[in-house]
Order: sequence, then structure tokens, then C-alpha cells
Amino acid sequence: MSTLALVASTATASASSSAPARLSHASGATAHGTDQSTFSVLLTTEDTQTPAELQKLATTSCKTEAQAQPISLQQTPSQNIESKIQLLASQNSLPLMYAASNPDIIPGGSLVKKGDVLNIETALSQLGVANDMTPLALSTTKAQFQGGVPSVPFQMNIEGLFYNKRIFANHHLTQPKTFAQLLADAAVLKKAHVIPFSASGASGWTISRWVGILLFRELGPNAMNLIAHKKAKLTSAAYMTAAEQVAQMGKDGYFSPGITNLSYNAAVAQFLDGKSAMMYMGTWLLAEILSSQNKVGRNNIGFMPFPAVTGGKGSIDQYPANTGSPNVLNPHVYGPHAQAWLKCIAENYGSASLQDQGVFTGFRTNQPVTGLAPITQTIQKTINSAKQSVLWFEALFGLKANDDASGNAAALVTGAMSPQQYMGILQADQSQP
Amino acid sequence: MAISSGRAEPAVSTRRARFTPAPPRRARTVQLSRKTLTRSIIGIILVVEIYPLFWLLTSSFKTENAFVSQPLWTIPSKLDFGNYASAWTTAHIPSDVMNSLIVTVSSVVVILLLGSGAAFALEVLVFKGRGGILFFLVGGLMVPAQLVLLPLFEIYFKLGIDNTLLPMIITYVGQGLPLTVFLMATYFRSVPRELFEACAIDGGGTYRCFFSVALPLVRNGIFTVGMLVFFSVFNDLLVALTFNSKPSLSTIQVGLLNFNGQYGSVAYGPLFAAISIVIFALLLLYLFINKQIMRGLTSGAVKG
Amino acid sequence: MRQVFGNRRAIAFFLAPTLLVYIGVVVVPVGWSLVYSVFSGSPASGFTFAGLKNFRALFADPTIPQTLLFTVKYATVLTVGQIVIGYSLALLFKFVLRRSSTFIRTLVFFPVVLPTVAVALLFAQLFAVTPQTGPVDSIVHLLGGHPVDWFVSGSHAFVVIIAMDMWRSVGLFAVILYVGLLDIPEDVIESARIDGASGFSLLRRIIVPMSRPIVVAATIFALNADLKVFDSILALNNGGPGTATTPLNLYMFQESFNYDNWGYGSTIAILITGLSLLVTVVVFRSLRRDITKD
Repeated sequence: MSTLALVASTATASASSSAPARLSHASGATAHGTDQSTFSVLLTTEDTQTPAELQKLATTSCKTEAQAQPISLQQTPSQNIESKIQLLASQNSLPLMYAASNPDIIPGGSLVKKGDVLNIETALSQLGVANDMTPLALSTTKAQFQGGVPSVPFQMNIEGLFYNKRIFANHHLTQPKTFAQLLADAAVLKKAHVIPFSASGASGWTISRWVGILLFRELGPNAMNLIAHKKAKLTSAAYMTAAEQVAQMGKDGYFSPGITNLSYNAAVAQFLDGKSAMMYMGTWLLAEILSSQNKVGRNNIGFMPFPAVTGGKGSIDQYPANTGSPNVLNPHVYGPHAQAWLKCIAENYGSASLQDQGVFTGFRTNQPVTGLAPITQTIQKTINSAKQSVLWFEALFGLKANDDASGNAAALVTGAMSPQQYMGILQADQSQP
Repeated sequence: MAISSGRAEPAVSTRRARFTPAPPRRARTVQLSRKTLTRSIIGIILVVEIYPLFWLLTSSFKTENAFVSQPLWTIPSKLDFGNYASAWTTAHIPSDVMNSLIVTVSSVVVILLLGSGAAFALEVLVFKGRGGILFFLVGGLMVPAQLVLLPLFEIYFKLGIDNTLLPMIITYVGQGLPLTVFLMATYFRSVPRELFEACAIDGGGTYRCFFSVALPLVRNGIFTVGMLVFFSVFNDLLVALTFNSKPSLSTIQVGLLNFNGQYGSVAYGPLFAAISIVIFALLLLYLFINKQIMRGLTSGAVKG
Repeated sequence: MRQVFGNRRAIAFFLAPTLLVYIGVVVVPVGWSLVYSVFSGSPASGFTFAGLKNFRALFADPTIPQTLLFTVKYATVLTVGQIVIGYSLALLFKFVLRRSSTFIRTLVFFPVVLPTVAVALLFAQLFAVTPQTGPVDSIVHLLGGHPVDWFVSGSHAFVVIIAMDMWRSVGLFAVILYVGLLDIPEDVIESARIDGASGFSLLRRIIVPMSRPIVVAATIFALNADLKVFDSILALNNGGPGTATTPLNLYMFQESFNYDNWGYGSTIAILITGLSLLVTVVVFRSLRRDITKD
């Protein structure tokens, strides 16, 4: 479902960007509004982590804040969150916290223009807790939202290749350092009747992410910004290479068979059943790896950076990163009680989320967290040491290009659509006013 | 569906077998093959209709992993009611079912009352411009339902009823009327006009002729249209999603979306458990009112 | 008699509430929405007058011919199936199974009750190749064919979509048409039998003509519903791959609700309404002519 993919890719941003000089001016309001009686929250139904953690905070670290302003939670399926936000905005009755989509909340976006988007960076420093947002989260947010900081970083995800250590050992494979090595490994696995890479056509972003990461490795961290600012075209030879490579991988049979309507669950299950060797995915996969769904054993799953492309401008230590689906605060109802809430969240959410759910956030972990699984610790170290992050394929796309990127991804790997057609559709979407 | 297309002929040929006088020997073989034909058709119908039910039920007992990793026809090794427990809490089933029933039943009652009255006026009563009005109403069938959502959202918001079930009911009534008027008019048309005239000659007024003569005559139609409207309202997702403002007001269809997770995952086991609960509750309800409905239908057939 | 059938007060009593609700909930909002077709923007950003820009975009949009063709193809195939199979089932209920048809009727009607999401999941599984080979591909394999990825192309997915929606809705038409058959007076059938009408000629001469009004009504209802197909395809494969199986209504929904092009969405809605109107008039005319010919 298209909109699930929308949430999955966590965010999008339109190509229509305002001039850099006006960025700071238009990047979100900081005005202090009037408190409502409740801390009203409107999130997607699919987001179960954030509400659970907020409600937990309301009974623990943020008890005082919750007594002054109790949480009232509304959730609506991602299928209609966009229209619901649009309709509520048109009635000037957005709740205090709401899930929005990128084009509306980047500098110059429709909700920013209406003054419905709080600048989180400014708000945190006014509350004296600017240091509680990690530098990686701040830089990732700014990249994701074209300079603005409209979203509370309830998550901090990086992406890479999860792999089955046992299958690697059985076939005498080591972590590939280059893309060519990765393809050679895939050929070995394919020959041995092991599916090299799990991916889902129904959640097509699991495929289109491959095009993105190859672009970042080949053309450098700036690859997709150039597209967003119309300084390069997806249909040019340099960009086409990535789509052609992914199509070729499909042709070689490296992805899950019957991929077109294969669900996300099924693709993940394929990997965690040990039927496939690797899966390109974000660190949110940890939840499944640590659950009983994992038949391979949590210590048999490894995480490695996506290999470099020889001669490419990008490097292996640049991880695609995001701060989760956007959660925006509404300045009109951002009064003293709401401010107290935000301060408490900044100070406590990071450690609570990691401790309770094993989910990394863009907040500092101020309390020690114990009992983490080895793979969680490894990934935590990777996140903490990550110097530079890059975005993902669809991050700066408009809503339509975002849908088309994942909707057509399966067709790209099955050969139902040529790389030229695939990139052509996306470029056409991006060229629209 | 290839399986079903085979059904068309037998119904016809069996009739021929019954009505063509044939020599006794041939009749026997014809009758035999007729029986096998009827039986095999019924057999096919049974498989096509029952298999999914079976699949639904077995799936509701499967674990997440079994659902995607084991063949579809596998029967779970043990009855695990864990899915049912988590379905019950995730989808707020008691309140969802309640909301769905309130919304559906009240919409259907209002639609049938208003729609059959209007159809009666347009088909039986005589006045200028009734053809035009019928066409104007039927035009509502041709407009995509999504078009009304944005203006209605604004209207309901301004009226201050946006936090109730009313927006759903009002919208369903408006959207259900064109179909109801259209079909009810067809049913009224098939009633011989002399019956209405007889009522008028007997000295019955317009209202009495409607309630005590016209309505009973088209009760099959009312039942059919009622059923049609009931399930289209009950299964609607679009309107329910748009006007759903909080979990305590959500309907079953909206509640089922609660099993979708972030990143495109779906909690299949609990989802199927929830669907099973809803389906079997409906089935019970259906069997409960079935006798009444069947009585209505068969008396219609006898009536002639 | 004119007092009874021409009673103005009664006419108003029966008609006014329906017209009032219909105008308030359908006509006014639809008119309001259609005005957006000459505007661009979204509720949050506000609307600005755009003239005929959306209509020009409609003609230039390469997705429109594709979705239009798919919609017409889908509606034609499905409607024919719904009416033909539905009518055959109705005949089976009425003349073969007669009183004992209750159980079968209930069963055939059952899929109508199922949530769309459940039906879509079922058919995705029935036609799956991975992770588990579904029954359909197992049968293909048994017959010596190669397993097919049923969702890989538009023409393959079309088969699944038609099978799904036929299964889901045919019971409804069977029951509507069955009730139509019940309303044929028994003595008319009997007297035709006495006149020597055998099975097929009885069907052709008496039953089909007498149930024609309900068949016409069901056809028009089916066509208008099928031309606006939306949620079942959304749940099955979201109109994929790409937009190969996207109907107009889903495309309109995506443009308005997912991509915030409310004006363009309204323009597509005008196209849908025009199409439905055209098809209804054509069907109505041609079936009417048939009636007079008989």
C-alpha cells in the first residue's frame, strides 16, 4: 500500500525549495501559544512505539507534566493521515503534536507558511536542553528537511546490510568491502540455491533503497540534493547506472523470487528463517531480530555497512540515516505546560526508549541503559561513531515521486519496466511544478 | 472465474430435461446426468465458498511466522488463542462492533424509510417532473464517493458534530439514497398497477395505500435493498476513515487497520482472529434473523 | 383516484426528506468539490484559481489513457460476469434447488460480508508464488505448466483482480436477481408450461423478459459500482505493478488525498462522472430497445 510505503520511507520532501537566504526565516515558528487542557497527539495507527513510550513517561519521569496536561491520544491509519492533517489544518485545529509529511513541513511548506510548525532546535535551546538532541540527529534532521528542524527525533535509524553469519560461514564469505565483491558473493549464494537478498515488492521501498545507496556510493552524499535542486536529472547516464545495476541484479535472480506482491512480513520472515543471506534494511529491523520470530538466532545475524563502489565519490562509512517519521509540534497551542512536556521528553525519552523498546532515538541517553543484546550494542556504537550520514533514495522526493519510486520498484527488478522507464517516471514526477 | 462460468448452462438444461416429454429410456439417462450435474455444481460452489472460510479460521490460530513461512493449507499444530486475546485488545472489538452496528443499523433504517417513500412517490404517484427528479437522484450513483468528503468535513466541523457518529450516519444516508430509490422504483414498477388502484377505489388514502398495500407488496425488494445497503455501509472504509476522530468512535473496518505496523508489517494472526470474531458474530446474527427473512421471501413466492 | 395518486401534500411528504438529504449531503458537496477543478492547492495551503490548467494536465497525463482503459476493461468484464453468473445462480436457486436453496444461497452470499482487506489477503495468498506456492500455482504445476508470478504484470494481475471481485460480489447479484425471479407470478409460468413451453424456450420467452427490469437495474448498478472500483484493488496490489492495474477512482484518490493535488483530483472525478453517465445512458437505451423489440 502506497501510504504504508510513505511511512516506511519515513519522510519525503518536495523539490520545491526556497532560496537558502530565506531558510532561517521560514523554517518554523517559535511563537509561544496558549495551552490546551490536554497534550493532544495525532499519530498514525502504525506507529505503536511513540504512543507507548509517551504514555510510559507520563507515569514515570514526566509525571508532573502529565498531571498538569494529560495526554490525549488519537491515531489514524497512515492511509489517511495526510488528508486528515490537511483537513484539520484548514480548520485551524491541529493538535499539539501530529504526524506530518515532509513537503508540508520543510521551509516554505504549506504548514510552515500557516505557522503550524514549531522549530524544534530553537525550542530546545530556549528550554536549555539543546544538548539533549544528538549532533547526528540534528544534522540528519536538517538534511532530511532541507535546513529546517520541524520534527521531534523520536527515532534514530541507520541503514545497512543485515546478514546471516551462518550462511556466510558455510559458503566461506566475508564482509564485502566493495560492491563488486558483494555481487560476487551473491553469485556464489545463487549457485548454492540460497536467495542472496530478501526484499519486498509490496513494500517497494525495500528495493528502491538499493538504487539510492548505489547513487550515494557512486556519486557522493550530495547525489539526491542535486536532483531536488534540479541541478541533475535522474535520467542522465550517471544516475541511470544505479537503476541499471539493480535491474541487472533482478535479472540475475539475486532478489526474492515472486517479489512483486511479496509482503514486508514475508520478506523479513524469509531472512529470519535463514532462507536468504542478506537484507538491506534500517536498524528498526532489530525489533524482529530480537523477537522469537528470528529462527536463525540473534547472535547469528550481523550488521555491516553497504560496501563502497570502486572509484565512486561516496565511501563505506557514510550511513543512510533518518530520525523516524516526522512528529511536529503546533506553535498555536505550545504554552508553558507543553513546554514542560517537551523539556521532559528531551531529557528522558532517549534512555527510556532504548531501555523499554530497544529503539534508538535522536536524544542523548542520560540514564544508563542495561541488558542490551550484543547486536544492539554493536549498532549503538556504529551510530555513536558515525561521522557523516547520507539520506535515502526518496528522502527529498515529492509525495508522488515517493510513491512511484516504491510502486514501480518491483517492476524494475522483474524486468517488467526498463531502467529508463523507471527513472523517467520519477524524473517526470520531480519536474512537475 | 473459470469454475463458475460452467454454472450457467446446467440450470437451463435441467429445465429442458424436465419439460421436454421424452421416451422413458432416454429420460432415465437424462435424469441421471442431470443429478450428477446438479451435484457437481453444488460441490464446486461448496468448495469455492467454504474453503476461504476454513482458511480464515485456521489462519487465525497461526503464529506470525507460520502464516508467512508455511504452506497456506497447513493446519496449526495446536489451538493457540493468543491471537484472539491480542485481537480483542488491539482492535477494541467490543466498542468497534457496537459502533459499526449503531452506524449501520440506523443508516439502513433511515435509508429504507426515506428511499422507499421517495420511490413510491416517483413511481406510483402522478405529478409533473417525476422522471426528471428520478434521473436527478440516480445521477448520485455516478459520482465518485470521495468527492463529497472535503466539503462535508468542513460542514460537520462547523456544525460541531465532528466528534460523534453522526457524520458517518448522515453521509451514508445521503450516499445510500440514490441506489435505494433507483432499485425500489424498479420493484414498485413490477407491481401491477391495478393493485394500487384497487386500494384507491377501496377508499384508502395515499398514506394508507403506501403503508398497508405498497410496502408489503415490495417487501422482497425492501429486504434485498436493505441487505445491499447494510453490507455496503458495514464494509465501507473510506467514509469511516475520514470522519473517524478517535479510537472510541472507530468502526470494525477502521479497527482492522490497527494490525498494520510501521514499515509495512502486518500482524496477520491477530488480524485474522479479529476478522473471524466479526464474521462469526455476523453469521450468528444472520442465522438469528434468517427465519424472518426467509418467511418474507417464500411468502413472496407463494403470493404470486 | 387522482386525489390519492396526485395528492400534492403526500408527494411532498414522501419526496421532500429524501431530496433534502440528497441535496445537502451529495449535490451541494459534489458541486462544491467540482469547483476545485479550476483551482490548484490543498486545504492547508489554500486554493488559488488556475483556470483550465487541470484540464490541460488531464489531457497531457500519460497515466490517464492507461487508467481509463483499465477501468473500462475491468467494468465490462466484471459486469458481464456478475450478471451472467449471478443470473445463472438465481435460476439454479429458483428452479433447481427451489426451497432447499437456503443453505447454498447463504453460502454464496457469504463473501459479500467479508471485509475487503480479508478478501484481498486471501487472493494474494491463493495466487502467491513465494514464500509459499499458492493453490493456483500448485494446480498450474500439476498440469505441467510453469508457476506464474501472478502480480508481475498488469495482464496477469487483471486475472487475479477479476477473480477476486467476482467471488466477492457475485452472491449479491445472485440474490438481487433471485428476488426478481421470485416476483414473477407462478401462474404465468404455469400457463406457459401448459402451452408447451419447454425449459429453454420458457426461459427465453417468459422468464428473461419478465425479469428484464431487475436485470437492467442490476446491470446499471453493477456498471456504476465497477466503474468506481477502489478499495479491493487498493488492498490487493495497490494498482500495481506501477499503475498497470490502477483504476481511475484510485488514481483520483491518490492525487487528492496522498499527493495533495485536490484540484486535479476533482478534474479526474469529472471524467469518472462523465464516463458513468455515458455508460449508463448507453446501457439503458440499448436494453430498453430490446424490451420494445420483444
